[in-house]
Amino acid sequence: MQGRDATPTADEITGWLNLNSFLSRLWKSVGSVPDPEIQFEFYACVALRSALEGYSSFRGSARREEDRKADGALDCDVAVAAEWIDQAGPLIYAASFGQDGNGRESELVTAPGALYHGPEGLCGEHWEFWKKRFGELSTQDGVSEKSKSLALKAKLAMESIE
Amino acid sequence: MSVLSLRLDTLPRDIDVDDEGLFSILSNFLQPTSAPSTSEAARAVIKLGLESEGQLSYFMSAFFEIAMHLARQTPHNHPSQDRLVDLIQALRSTPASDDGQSPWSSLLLHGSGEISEIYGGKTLFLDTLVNSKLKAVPRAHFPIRKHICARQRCHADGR
Repeated sequence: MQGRDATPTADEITGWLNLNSFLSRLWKSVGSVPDPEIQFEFYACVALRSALEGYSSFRGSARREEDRKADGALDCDVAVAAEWIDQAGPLIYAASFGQDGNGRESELVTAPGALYHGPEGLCGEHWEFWKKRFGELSTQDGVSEKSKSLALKAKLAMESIE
Repeated sequence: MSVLSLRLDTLPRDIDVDDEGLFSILSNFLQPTSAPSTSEAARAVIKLGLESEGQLSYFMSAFFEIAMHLARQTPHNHPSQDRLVDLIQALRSTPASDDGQSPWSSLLLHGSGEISEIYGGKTLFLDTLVNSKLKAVPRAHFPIRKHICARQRCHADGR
């Protein structure tokens, strides 16, 4: 690791996607148990928020979408979010809507991204917002073709899960 | 299936267990060819845990830390991603040697702290990674750390 503002290396970006793939696969294998010990719902929520909501960093300000496109941050975050949908989409959906249709209250919440103004945690509003945003990214100017493809695939997967 | 190029020396910090032994078991297991079976690898991990001088809970945390380190190095679409998950599930379902519950059934509990470290204080999502670059981040920014610690205390207290 170099300086505080250095751009992430390719290895760091790839490693982040790989690690999230592992966690989402682990959740898929463990399943939706009452007390999973690992807060899979939280990690899924943060991954989707980071890619789709203009995630607010710990400094409290969201980075501009154009900057995210330019430095590869959006590509990485879209790939990570799409991986969570691919591996654990049905679990995310179940946690969002719950048996009573009201969603499962998240024990862990953090500040929402700049583009989303609904309730925290996994909930129906979040699910619908993320699905809409995947659709928008799949046709948006400045988004890489790879990310467009991943976003469209994720949107279609979400529709299929419903 | 491509052969994986796995390294231990890039682990961010030293851990006080036989990390090379754990790495050897896991890296051999994750290779797509000539790899031991899931049950064989699980038995080898458990044996190493029994031989470890410290508490088994610490060993399990170290196992999870190394497992995640290797998961980072395993392509997201490589079959060994699922093999690693299978190994964890095999460890969790290890039968108890007496009437009690196997300590390995709580493996995820011991892994939860390692995950929260990564998500909460070291390597966040890319936007934060750009800003922080693994610099120390005030813990107050990450409520999950406090929450996870509270959960672990509850488990430790038997609540």
